[in-house]
Amino acid sequence: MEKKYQVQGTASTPTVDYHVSSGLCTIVGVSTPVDSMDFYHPIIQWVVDAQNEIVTGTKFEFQLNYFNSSSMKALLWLIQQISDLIQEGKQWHLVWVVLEDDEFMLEGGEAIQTLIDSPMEIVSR
Amino acid sequence: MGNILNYSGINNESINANLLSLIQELSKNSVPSKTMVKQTIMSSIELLDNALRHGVSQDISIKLELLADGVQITVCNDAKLPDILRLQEIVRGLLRMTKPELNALYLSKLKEGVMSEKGGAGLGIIQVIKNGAKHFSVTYENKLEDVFRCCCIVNFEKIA
Repeated sequence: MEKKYQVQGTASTPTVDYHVSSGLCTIVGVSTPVDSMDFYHPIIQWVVDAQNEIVTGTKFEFQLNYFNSSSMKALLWLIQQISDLIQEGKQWHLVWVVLEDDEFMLEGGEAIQTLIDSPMEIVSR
Repeated sequence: MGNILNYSGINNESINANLLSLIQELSKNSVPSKTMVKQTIMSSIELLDNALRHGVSQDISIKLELLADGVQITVCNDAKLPDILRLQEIVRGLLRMTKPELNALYLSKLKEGVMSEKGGAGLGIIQVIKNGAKHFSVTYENKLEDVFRCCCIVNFEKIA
């Protein structure tokens, strides 16, 4: 059975759709949980556990409309973990999506870019 | 000019999420500029988060007002006096910083800071001021013995 991690979005948490074989792992929506690590830690753990099955070329996309600052910190931990695995040789890509020239999301993506060792593309949609 | 939202009552994680959804909808329909809509929503998120994390009761209030020259957000919660005085000191210090200093502090806290027991990253107030708050004050009054009503009042001005 294909390994995947999926969570339906709510008013305070984003939709998570992570598959080992689809080539695209996405986090989309709003992220304002009070305990953000409670939400993001299982995703980080899933990536670590599934790292050898996630296909080459997989894009990890982050497309958030709003997030609280503790989610920003938790997202950085997740992206840093993926970045570390890329540094160890995984052929994956990090993509931060900015909707409608949202300057706050752009700033958030640029902040993360400066703190990780792997490239992260910022794209506007 | 007038109130966009005026809520007073219980807050918990579920009500917080509903309030934020409401603020998103109301701000998009009432606040004149796209930047100010985003400032209002992002700052309300942080102020409500703080009230939920650091309040000593679930009794909060939030008021969003449209002013002639911008938007004012007022979030009140019950708190202990030492926490309020610490918050006042933090806000005063942050308001004295330049934009590059704020950005550097934000990045350093983002990278090195640890999550508090209450799940906070210590970034919320920095984020509100980084968002462009033109005025940020913390007021308080005694409510009951050692419990104080603390209000954070934040203004964003229209960019000419």
